[in-house]
Amino acid sequence: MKNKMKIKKMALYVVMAVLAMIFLFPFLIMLLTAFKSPAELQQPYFSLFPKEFSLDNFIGAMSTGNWARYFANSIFITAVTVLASLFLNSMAAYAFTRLKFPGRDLLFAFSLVALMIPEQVIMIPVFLELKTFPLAGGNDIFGVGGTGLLNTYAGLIIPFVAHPFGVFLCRQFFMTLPKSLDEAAVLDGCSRFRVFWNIYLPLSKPTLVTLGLLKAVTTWNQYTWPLILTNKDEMRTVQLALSNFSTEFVTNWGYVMAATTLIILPVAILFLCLQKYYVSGIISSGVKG
Amino acid sequence: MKVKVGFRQAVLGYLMIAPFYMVFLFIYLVPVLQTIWNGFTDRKIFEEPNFIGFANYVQIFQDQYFIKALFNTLIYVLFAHFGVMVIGLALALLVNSKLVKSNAFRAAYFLPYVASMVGVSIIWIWMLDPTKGFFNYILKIFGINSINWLADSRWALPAIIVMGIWKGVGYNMLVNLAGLQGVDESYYEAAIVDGANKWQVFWKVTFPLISPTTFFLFITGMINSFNMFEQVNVMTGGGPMNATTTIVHQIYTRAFLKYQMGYASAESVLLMLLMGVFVFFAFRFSKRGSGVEM
Repeated sequence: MKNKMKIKKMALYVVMAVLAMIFLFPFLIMLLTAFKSPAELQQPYFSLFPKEFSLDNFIGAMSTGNWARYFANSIFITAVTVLASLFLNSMAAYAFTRLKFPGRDLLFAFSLVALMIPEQVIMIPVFLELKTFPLAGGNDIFGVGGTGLLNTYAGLIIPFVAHPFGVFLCRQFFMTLPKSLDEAAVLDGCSRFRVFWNIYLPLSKPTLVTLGLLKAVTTWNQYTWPLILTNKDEMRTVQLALSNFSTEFVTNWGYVMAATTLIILPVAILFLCLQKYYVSGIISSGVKG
Repeated sequence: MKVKVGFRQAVLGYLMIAPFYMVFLFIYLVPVLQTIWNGFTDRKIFEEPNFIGFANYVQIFQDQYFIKALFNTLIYVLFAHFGVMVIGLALALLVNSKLVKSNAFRAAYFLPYVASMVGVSIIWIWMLDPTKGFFNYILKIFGINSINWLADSRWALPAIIVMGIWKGVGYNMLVNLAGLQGVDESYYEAAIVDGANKWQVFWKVTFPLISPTTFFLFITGMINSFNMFEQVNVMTGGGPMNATTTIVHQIYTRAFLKYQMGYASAESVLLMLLMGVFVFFAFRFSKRGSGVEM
């Protein structure tokens, strides 16, 4: 009986390891290709391991094109989107949970409609709205004449800061906190906003980390929206730059794989370090971060 | 006094939801209405739009590109979504085993989901390369002639489907796993005491108990599959010979490469309707079938 258990355990390990190999194999190919020398990549057949490891592809790829700018763009956009969305969504969640105002529950329920609307079906009007944004990018007060928020950071950030799922998750957490917390603070002369800022926010760190992480990963990985909204080189994000790079250097796979590695790596590290938070967000979501 | 406090609280309440709600209204709600309206116009990008009734819709139903895209999208939904549902659940059952500590394995299965679609698409282009790619290397071992996967209209869509499954199953595994861990052990024990075999335990006990999770994954996964675009734009650009173009790829091409905003809006409306019909029937079917209440 005990032996049978052991065999079963071994078999499970083998199956799981083989599957893990299948899932990780493309990333392994990416890494190993990135370390190959140009001469080796000229060979007209497949080989897995490089004969010698060289960093030339990383240096070469990053010095071809404006990568410092693309990375700076992506880091800036991701950081601002994460912070702004955390602030906006948690603040709305506090009002929806603890403040009394007419239409509160209806407004909240209504905002959840957005969870069922894929961004792809509404990208045209959002694009047109941003293009005709009044008094921006050379537009007059009627939104005519210029390019509005096209090719701007604001245009890449604003559409993603309101996130009904974020409100939903914060509200779920806020509801577990005792109401007496608010009442005591208000009796001590604390304003309701201060209660949110100084008491609720610090208490909900795990929820905020989860939401921030989901948002950071989706923002960093974003492709469709920057593709539509920008056409200037200096506004490109890393994903957009990578897709252009891969068509331009289609014969230089060492460069392309080195760039791909550098763009996937930050997200992979973030995920592996903060797995617990990310997974709890995925489980309570279902809707993409 | 009390009235005054209530009034002040209401004002603060509105102020605190205002930034979120404004963006929500202008990014989600108004655009849905605008899409419907624009679909009835010949809106381009600079010119004033004219109302043209159902002319766009009449044209779309004769549009070979759109019909091809509709067909490809349905194929993708059928195979990729189905694959992700089945394999995701199988993986969850596998890693849910108490015998083995599977955390590292779970992370491995989930990693493709976290990586960017652009990044993984490019890795797969490289693996599908006709001369230096991994997949043709495998074929060669078995003595099969190499295939130019993404340039062959028979193989491009299947290749994209396989990649979609590889990238997406980790997510389904995690959500299913959470569903499985919510099932009370005593149900299994009772079923085994009653003499049920493993297969019966799964179909008669486990599956009904996690069916709300399954249903949720079915709906959200289906919506995501219907909106598939990024990998197509990166890997094939809709080609070869439109073999991989999808509805969203058509919307993107019409709206942002040809500036036919009105026409593309009508295509978006059709996509919304299509998804709506599928979601509606999923709800009807699930209520009749297993009594799942959402």
